[in-house]
Amino acid sequence: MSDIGTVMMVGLALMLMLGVPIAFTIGILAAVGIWMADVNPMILPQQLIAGSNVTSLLAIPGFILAGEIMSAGGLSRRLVRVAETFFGHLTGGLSMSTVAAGTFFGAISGSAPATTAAVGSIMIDELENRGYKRGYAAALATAVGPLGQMIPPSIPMVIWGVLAEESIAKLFLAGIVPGLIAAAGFCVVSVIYARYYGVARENRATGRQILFALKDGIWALLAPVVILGGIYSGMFTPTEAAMVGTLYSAIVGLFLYRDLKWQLIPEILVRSMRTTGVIMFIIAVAYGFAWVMASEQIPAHLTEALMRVTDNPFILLLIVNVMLLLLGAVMDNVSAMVILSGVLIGLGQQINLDPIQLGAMVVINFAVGMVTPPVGYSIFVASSISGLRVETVARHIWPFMVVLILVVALVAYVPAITLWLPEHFG
Amino acid sequence: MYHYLDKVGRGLAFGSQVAGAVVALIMIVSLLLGVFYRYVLDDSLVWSNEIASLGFTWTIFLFASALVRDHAHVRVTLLIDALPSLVTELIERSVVLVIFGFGLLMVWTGWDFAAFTAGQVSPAVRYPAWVENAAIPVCGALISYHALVLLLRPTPLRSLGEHAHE
Repeated sequence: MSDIGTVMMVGLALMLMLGVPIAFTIGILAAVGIWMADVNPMILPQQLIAGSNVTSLLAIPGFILAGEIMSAGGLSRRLVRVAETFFGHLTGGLSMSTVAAGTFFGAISGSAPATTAAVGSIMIDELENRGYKRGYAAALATAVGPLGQMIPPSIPMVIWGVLAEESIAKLFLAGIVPGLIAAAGFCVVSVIYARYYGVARENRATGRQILFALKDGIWALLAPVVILGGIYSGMFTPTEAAMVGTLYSAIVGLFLYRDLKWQLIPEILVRSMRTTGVIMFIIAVAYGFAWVMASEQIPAHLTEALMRVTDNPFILLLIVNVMLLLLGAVMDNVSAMVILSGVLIGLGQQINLDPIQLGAMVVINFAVGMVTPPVGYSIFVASSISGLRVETVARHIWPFMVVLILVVALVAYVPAITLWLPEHFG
Repeated sequence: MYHYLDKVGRGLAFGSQVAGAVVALIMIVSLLLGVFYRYVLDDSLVWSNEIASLGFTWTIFLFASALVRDHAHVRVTLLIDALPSLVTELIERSVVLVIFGFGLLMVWTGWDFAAFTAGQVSPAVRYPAWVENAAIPVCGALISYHALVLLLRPTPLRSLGEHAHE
């Protein structure tokens, strides 16, 4: 590898270890690379601007804001109630209702912590009151978080789509089956848990109760239809769908459910844009970093080095997945995607992995990172909502981790899981 | 002296976030107007994407600068949490120095870039390119200012920061 490549790699490891924020780490390294390559330094601001005005990425603030407004507007509460009337009477029913609500909220929100927050804030106390351990309830809320990233819309899928120049709509479709398999797996865990600990079932909801829940929840249930229906009917781009979703949830929250108060909106807007600032600043700076990496052909060298270890696609996929899982556990997923995208895309081409499958694989691996300490944001959210220590939540997370790792393996080795839907409906 | 600088920093961070939220609103409204024109008025709005992108750029960099004040940019703190507090504090101050340096770099290169593109205009609305490109030096200066205040902070830095959600 060239001198610049070595400096970039060593610098990256060193600065990240010392706790330099990821955006500034890659920004400084990009500047060093530009200086070493003796290129005009104006390339840095030019790339920062290029990275900050990609129209597809405008979907990110939209989906963040839509998720926040839907929680504040009472949509998530109603989704939970609908799920309860359908699943409550089964063994592990309340736990399964939580999974169902998480799955549904995942079809509105594109973020794991937002899904955990929306579902956890309602369900953790309720699960505890009905006989589940509080640690289990918090772990369950943590585990449903990644569903928000697998089931469309999904913020990491938008980012990967832009980085890899792949169709965001197809990537969204690729996440549906893995998301549903994970949800089904969580339901199995719920049943086993309820049987083992003898958790009592709820009474079966009457037809009247079901009708009332559906009637009350109809606007919340329609939200995914507006967002996803808009994208797949060709009416909106994912970016427009995100904004329409925001408007829809604001109208429902303000005027129909009336849970959302006008005075809350500035606070929600600022909070959402702070989150956007964190994510998007990394991506904007990453454009400069990626420019240096590409001009020095560093991803190609790293891919070659990996291929020298083995050229067996089965083993390479195993290495890549284990690496992604470990990296997802210690690093924020946007940063990891941004840094690794060049290498992963190169490797995918070498082993003839479909780019859509590769994208889904990367996003889902990192989604699992959301539930693993020490940097799993979902686990932090569940810990702060439940008031339990992160370690306590982590102790209960392993059955769900088994399910998620199984999903990762299926996604890596069974292409149809991710590709069937995009091939037929994309 | 520090209290004065800190107070100005607080004002700047508040102002950046208010301005950022306003441009974010402009971004959202212009995209929604684009959809409205296309489906309701059966007309295409040529400026909606361009204005939204311009708003997006400013939103990102304004909030990115305000986040420096709270030390809220995502980072890995595994190692520094395990070190003795004095070493941690020393590393923390060096980290802030790196942020300060990057802010200055944004000012220097961003200023040149904005000046270099001063004669250019956007394709649809034909606003001058510096209106967008000025986001880099302006927010670079804000980043450096917030980093400077953190550097001078008399109390330990490790207590700052939050988990950014995404």
